[in-house]
Amino acid sequence: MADLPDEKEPLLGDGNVQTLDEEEELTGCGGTLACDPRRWLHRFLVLILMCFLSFGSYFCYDNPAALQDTMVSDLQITTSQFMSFYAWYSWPNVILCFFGGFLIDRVFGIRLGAIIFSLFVTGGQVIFALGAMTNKFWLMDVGRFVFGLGGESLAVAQNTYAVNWFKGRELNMVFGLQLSFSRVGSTVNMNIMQPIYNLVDSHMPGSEGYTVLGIVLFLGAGTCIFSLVCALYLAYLDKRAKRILKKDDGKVGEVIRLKDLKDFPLTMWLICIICVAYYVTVFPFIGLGLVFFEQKFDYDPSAANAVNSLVYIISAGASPLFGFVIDKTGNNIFWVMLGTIVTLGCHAMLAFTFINPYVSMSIMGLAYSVLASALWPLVALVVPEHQLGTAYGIMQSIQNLGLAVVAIVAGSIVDAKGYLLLEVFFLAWLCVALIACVLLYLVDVSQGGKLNMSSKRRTLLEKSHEKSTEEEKKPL
Amino acid sequence: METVHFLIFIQFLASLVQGDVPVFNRTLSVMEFNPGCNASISPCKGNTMDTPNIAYTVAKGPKDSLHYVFSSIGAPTILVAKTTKTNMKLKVNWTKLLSDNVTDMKNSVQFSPTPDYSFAVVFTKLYEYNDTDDHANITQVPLLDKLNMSQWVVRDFKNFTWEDLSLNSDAKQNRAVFKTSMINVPFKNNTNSSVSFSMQVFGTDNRETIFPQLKYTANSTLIDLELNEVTPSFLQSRYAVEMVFLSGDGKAGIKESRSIDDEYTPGVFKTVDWKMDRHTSKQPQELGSFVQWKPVCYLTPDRDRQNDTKVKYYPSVNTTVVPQKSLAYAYYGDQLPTVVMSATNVSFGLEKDKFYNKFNYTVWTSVIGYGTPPADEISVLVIVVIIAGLGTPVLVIVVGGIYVCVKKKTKLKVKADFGAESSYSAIN
Repeated sequence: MADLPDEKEPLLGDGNVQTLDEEEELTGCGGTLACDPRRWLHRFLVLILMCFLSFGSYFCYDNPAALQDTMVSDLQITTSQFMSFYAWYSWPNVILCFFGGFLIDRVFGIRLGAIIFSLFVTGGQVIFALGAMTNKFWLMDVGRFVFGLGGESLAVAQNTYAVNWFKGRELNMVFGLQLSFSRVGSTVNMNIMQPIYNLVDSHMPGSEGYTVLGIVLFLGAGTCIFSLVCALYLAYLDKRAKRILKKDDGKVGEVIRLKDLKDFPLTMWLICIICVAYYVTVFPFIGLGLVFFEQKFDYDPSAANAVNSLVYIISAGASPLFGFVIDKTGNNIFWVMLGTIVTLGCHAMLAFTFINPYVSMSIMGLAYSVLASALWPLVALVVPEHQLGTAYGIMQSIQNLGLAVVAIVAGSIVDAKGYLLLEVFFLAWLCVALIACVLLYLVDVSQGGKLNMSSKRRTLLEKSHEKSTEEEKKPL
Repeated sequence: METVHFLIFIQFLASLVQGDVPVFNRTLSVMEFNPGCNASISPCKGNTMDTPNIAYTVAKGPKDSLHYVFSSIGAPTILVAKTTKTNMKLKVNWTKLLSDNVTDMKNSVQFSPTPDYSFAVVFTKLYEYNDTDDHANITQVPLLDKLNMSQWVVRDFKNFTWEDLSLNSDAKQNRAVFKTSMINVPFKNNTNSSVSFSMQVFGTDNRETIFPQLKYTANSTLIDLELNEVTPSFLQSRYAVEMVFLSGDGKAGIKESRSIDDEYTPGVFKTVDWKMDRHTSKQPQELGSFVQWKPVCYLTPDRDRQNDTKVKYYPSVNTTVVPQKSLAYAYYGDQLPTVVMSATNVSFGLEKDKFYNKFNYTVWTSVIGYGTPPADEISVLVIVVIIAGLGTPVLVIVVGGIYVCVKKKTKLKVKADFGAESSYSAIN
């Protein structure tokens, strides 16, 4: 273990004088600051490429939400059919989240894997746009399915690249940056798709609405092609770095064994319930938000889209911040409870009052950041390290299953019974999450209160644990 | 949270005990078509394409009766009279009513003995305009465009011809349907074109089952206005109607209210009430009348939500112009100078909805009645879900809190009993 790179040194450090192999001479352009994989500027540029890797997928994921009113009217579909665009994205990921790591580690390798998933994302969006242009609803659903095959797995590939290039103290910052970039992509989508639609529409008078829609979605596919180019370039640079630095390929490294599931404690399943019960009140709500804000608060489409994008843009900034704070303070369960209760309050505000939605959506963005930052680390505290892959896999699988089903149900509720009942439906789910949270706290208390410890106590406990294992090793 | 659902619950209870929302039933007489119009009166006999149409129903309640008279003579009119006398009858002098001489029409329709209160709503004009700027606002469309071409087609309902009432109506359901007949002059040669008014009287409180699922009471009637394949005159046509609200005693005003509840009309949070309150300051305040609607209309006969569009209303004005040749004129006759008349326009459409031309269809529903306009209340389902949904975690928290407290107390007790730490860091 002596060769373990010290955290203070850069990963691909130069000055490794013990290497006797020939180091490749970098000549010309390759030796400059920007092209040398050992130097910070090159890694910074690679970081930019990595961040844009899933920009297209996040941008296009919420195209339906940004264009809900025009989609429903141009394609003559019900709200429930509209929400199937989201359901079909989630369906493949119920299963695929178990295989993403396997595909990257054993089948494709990180470089090819990222490219393939990017191709699925681009292809899916193109099929989606084609379906809109020809007014074929089933083709649009197929497009979203193909898009889904690539979308989540691409995020796994992105994380794998990050771990490979930035392992160590920079990793958390890189993860945070990647997530923020993605959220920015979603926000940009919300705010520019309607103006683009209006622009195209004004240049094509007399054409069918769905033709204009198709063209606009093809333009969205442009962001996916941009991400694909990033994937290709990233693959080239990664291969080159591998050759120059003689490093290993990035691996996801998580092994998924379904037989681990029987070992999971009750707390793990409660965490899964909280995850699904909470997330289904955020993403399907944003999917349906545009028309809700237009009709209840009399907003025009651009104002409604701006309000709808608040959750994303606020979490882009707040997630890293709260992540830092929660890491410092611990008490994760209390933070999860806080996030759930605050979101409950926001939905209640939106349902029962006419208070400016900017207020409730901003607060919801903060609450969402709090919950996401506090919930996922809990998994690492309840499940041993060799089972973490399976744990995250099952959590995401259940989450996608919930999103797929609730998306359709939410759409049906709106069609039949309106938005008040939709909000009440979401409030009910948040109550489920809250109950699971309280139960999690009680179970945890009865088992010694490990999950909700402040980080101070946690480090003390770890230290005394290390000390006692050391004591054990000493001969009597 | 507790305050919120407590307040809603109180509102729910309050709505049940509101005195002026009728919770009684009325028995309805079978609808009569053209009462007293027999073959001996020349316009009554035979099967003319322009038939005189009057539908008459009496809704008898425990305390009073409402007499409804619907007619398309002159202009589609709803006339309602309220009386406490059980022997009040409608008397129509058909010869005078259908005479070509307009002054003969006066007082040709009467109730005897006179009712306590009456009001009428008349649909006077159908407007069609060329919405070149796509604003869906009739106040923003000039009379002529830049090329001096007219942007408006104004059709007076008095020039329409109507089919025989009995062909399309359902007397047992107390539903009268007035439909324009095929040879209507204002429309081009499209045999499917029709403008129709459906007027239905109810004896109980309930809600229609199709959108917009308006609530009606034992004091009201449901009016559907349907513009079916009316051939548009422009490529970007939109329609509007002019309505006049008359009463012997009242002052009128339009108010829009908004609610958090859109259960019955998904996506529509507003209700518009055009109320005619009583002018007299008698106590207790006597009931006036109203026209109520939700600002939504549908562009397909299925009334699906993806093809709904907005209904806009414009400020009402008091008018002295009498809708002549209509039943209201025939009834109010000599009283007209003292009758309060309020007029407004209601237009159909919203920007970017691709105009009337997209589907060539519009249907709009309103409720016209006596007394207080019905108000939507939050349904029991919502209240139950809220109470159960929010109550359960509170319960769990309370129970859990007690459990934690008890556990801590026993831990302290153990500590006190043994005088040592009862928990020690685990070895493994």
